[in-house]
Amino acid sequence: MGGLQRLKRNPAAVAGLAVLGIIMLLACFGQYLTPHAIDEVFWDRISAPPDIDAGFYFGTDANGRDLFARTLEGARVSLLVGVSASLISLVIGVAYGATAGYLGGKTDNVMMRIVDILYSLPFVFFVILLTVYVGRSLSVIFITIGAVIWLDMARIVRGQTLALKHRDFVEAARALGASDRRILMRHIIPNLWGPVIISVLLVIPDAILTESFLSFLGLGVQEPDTSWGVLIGDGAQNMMGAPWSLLFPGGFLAVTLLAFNFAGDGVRDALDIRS
Amino acid sequence: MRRDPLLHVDRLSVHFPVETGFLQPRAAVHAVEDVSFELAAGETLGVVGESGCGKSTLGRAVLNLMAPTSGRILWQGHALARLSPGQQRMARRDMTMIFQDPLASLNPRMTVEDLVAEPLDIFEAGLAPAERRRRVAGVLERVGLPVDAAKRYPHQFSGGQCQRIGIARALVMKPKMIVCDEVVSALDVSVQAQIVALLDDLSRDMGVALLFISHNLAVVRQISDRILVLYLGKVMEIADRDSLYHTPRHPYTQALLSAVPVPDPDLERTRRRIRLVGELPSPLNPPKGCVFHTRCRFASDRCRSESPALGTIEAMHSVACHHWQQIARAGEAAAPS
Amino acid sequence: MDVPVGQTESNPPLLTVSRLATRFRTPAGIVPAVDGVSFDLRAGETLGIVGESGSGKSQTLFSIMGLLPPSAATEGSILFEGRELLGMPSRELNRLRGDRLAMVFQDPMTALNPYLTIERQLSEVLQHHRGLSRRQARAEALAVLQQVHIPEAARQLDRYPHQLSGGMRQRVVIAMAMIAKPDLILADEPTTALDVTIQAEILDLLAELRDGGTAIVLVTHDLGVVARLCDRVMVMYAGKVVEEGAIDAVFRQPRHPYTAALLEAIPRLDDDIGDPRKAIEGQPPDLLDLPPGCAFAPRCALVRDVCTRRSPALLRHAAGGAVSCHLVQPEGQS
Repeated sequence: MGGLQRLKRNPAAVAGLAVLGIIMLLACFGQYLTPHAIDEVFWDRISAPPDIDAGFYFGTDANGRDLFARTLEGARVSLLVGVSASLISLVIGVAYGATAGYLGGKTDNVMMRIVDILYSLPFVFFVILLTVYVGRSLSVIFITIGAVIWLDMARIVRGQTLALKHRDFVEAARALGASDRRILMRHIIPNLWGPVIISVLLVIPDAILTESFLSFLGLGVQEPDTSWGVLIGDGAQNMMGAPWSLLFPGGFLAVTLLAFNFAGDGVRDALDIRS
Repeated sequence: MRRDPLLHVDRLSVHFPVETGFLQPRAAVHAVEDVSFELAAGETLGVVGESGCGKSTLGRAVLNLMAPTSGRILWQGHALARLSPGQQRMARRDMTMIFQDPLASLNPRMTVEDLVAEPLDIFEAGLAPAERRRRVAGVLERVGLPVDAAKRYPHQFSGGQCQRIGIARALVMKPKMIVCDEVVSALDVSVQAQIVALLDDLSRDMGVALLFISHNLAVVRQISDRILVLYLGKVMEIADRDSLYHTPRHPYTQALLSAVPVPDPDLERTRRRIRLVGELPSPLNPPKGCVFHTRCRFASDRCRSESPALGTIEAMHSVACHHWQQIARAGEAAAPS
Repeated sequence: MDVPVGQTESNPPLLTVSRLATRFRTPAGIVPAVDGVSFDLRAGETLGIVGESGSGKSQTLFSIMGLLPPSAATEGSILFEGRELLGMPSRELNRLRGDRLAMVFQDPMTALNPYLTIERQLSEVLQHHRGLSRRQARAEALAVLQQVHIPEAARQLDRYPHQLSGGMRQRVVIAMAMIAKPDLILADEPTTALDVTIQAEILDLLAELRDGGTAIVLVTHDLGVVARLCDRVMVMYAGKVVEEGAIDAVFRQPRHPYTAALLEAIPRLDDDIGDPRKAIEGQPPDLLDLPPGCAFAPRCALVRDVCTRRSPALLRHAAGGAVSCHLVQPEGQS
């Protein structure tokens, strides 16, 4: 199909995908680029600026810890949160939305009203509640984020399913005697991939941003673990004296979000047969 | 009467409730109204009519894709509605459908082989892959598609070829009846003849009955043994092909035939046209009495109050009209012949 | 009988199209949608352009009207009442369109603005081109609606398109085309989307227009429609004209193998029942991948070697028409 070619012709999308690739590599293997651990304190280098020769590429934070190592750790955590939350939302959202859309009628109505209700609940409130009860941990973060993001996915998938339901080839399958389950599995869901992939690519930055926000508020990961949100929070406090402590993690976050958005847009355009 | 017809439709009505305002009385579209006919094994019955006549709804109701509001559909002697949902789905082995839009009726993400084999996957799930491939190849060849088509995708084929894929899919289980819903309307005229010939050929070869739905009277004429004319959901006339086209008795049939342009300038200049008056009434509010009376030049008081029953006037020829004899005598039939 | 083409006298052609060619730039390559179309049309004449998908018949019409997308490049000459339409600045073209030449499209629902009443849409044409006042325009609108036999015309004036049936809407579209009393109407498949009985009524309406002196170019895939309404017919295949001539001549004695094959292949009501039609093998060609030589050669039962090597020229023959086929001599014998 021409999708891949169309994608290759979109410079922003290609750049976005390339940047994402680099960041993923850094997240996975970056620890080998630095000898420092994320929680190693260098008492003689509190809030020290970048020193390439000594191996402190991004300088140190207010506690004397290597910012480069911590930024890479932040990449790991943020990407992990983003991707896991999106995968959770994908599985739940697709199953829920496709079922609601396909069954239609009262079932669809009830299911979507539940989504509406959940949507209107104050998200941060629940995160705080959960954090208070369960304690601060990474799992809490990505479960709560996933639990909110699946709502959007379900809505999108339901809409797509509604449109697909009336397509001729679905009617043809019904006329052939296919069961509802077969129609959902073989005809509806395989044709949902386009919009779903796009949604996932555009939802991950959302999840990362949400996690960053929570961490910024102090509700996210526990010390000494870190994420970009934590780093940005700390960096913001030291902005005047040590601007690098904000610039590096903030820059990484911004570039990553941008890359996801460009890539997502590019994939959407590439999958659109009419363009 | 024919003995043991394959399909016996008895006073079938399909009404769709329609959303009306809060305080307004409930309304329904009478898509199909009191339709009765039979289809014998191996026979081709053409169903013609213009928009809103209910032919597509009829096709879907016959396959049990749509619930009838009243009346019965007897398939091989058994009332479809009485069967359990499981049995109803099993009945689909023997009756299936081909659709109007050749490309849209094929899942764009499935290969031709998977598409054609879908009935096999549904009803003969334990089939060995080699046997599955063989059955698909056999039917693809039968419909005139190249042997390498199996691995390709629908968008790589033309409209006519896609329709062949649809026919192959319908035939792979060797059904007893296929409902063809405007299957050539979306194709180029030079390709229409190919597909109609193919269907005719296959139906005779394999003994498959066809319910051929179309608005195109010329196409229907090529393939049908008998024809049923619908207007606003009701049967106006049923006749065998020769009778319908040479001596149509219902004024609507006559008007229809007279309206079809013929690629012969001489004939077009000299033929007499029967013109209908007025507009098609809304199916939400069909006329009382004979549904056709608002557009019929011969309408009388009786037509306005009393709906004519479908009466047999000759062997294989039934008409629903109070005045068909006077009309025939007046010699206003202008079917080109 | 056949009138020899080229007889000018006091009846110069209203429309002269010479070697019209329209090419579309697409990501997949250049599509020669219209490739060398030439024809004349006199006042009061009706020309039918027939063809299947990819024949270029609708694009020919759009080229004349100047309604092509930016990806299209047009060459050749389109003379309307002596003025060259190709390359005409849009301000001038807009003065002509709707006024001296009007177009009727296939789908009445998309040709009409769903947010304006019938009266507004009709009046707009007159207010724009003739500078009439609203009241004067409304009176004319009423008159033209009655001309197209819309029942209760006064009531319909204030209705919206969605409140009318398909047949009525197409009448309104024709009324809009007629209201400024144009000399030429270009109709693109005006009845294809309509029921058979409504189609017959619309064709009757177009016949009335024709009898009233309006020239009509009618694009259709239906040879029966052409036989009913037109004086002359032009058959197109893969962007080129394959045959052209007076209606009786072409239908009774088609000279091009495609025309003949088409007449044999299409289902028709007037042949012997039970006579199997002779289908044309294959399908219309992909314009991006045209074979060398004659575009119809792959499907032609009479194909010779020369047909696959050289594209035939469109040559006039004695009976007044033209045909583009190697097997037909200029004298008209095959």
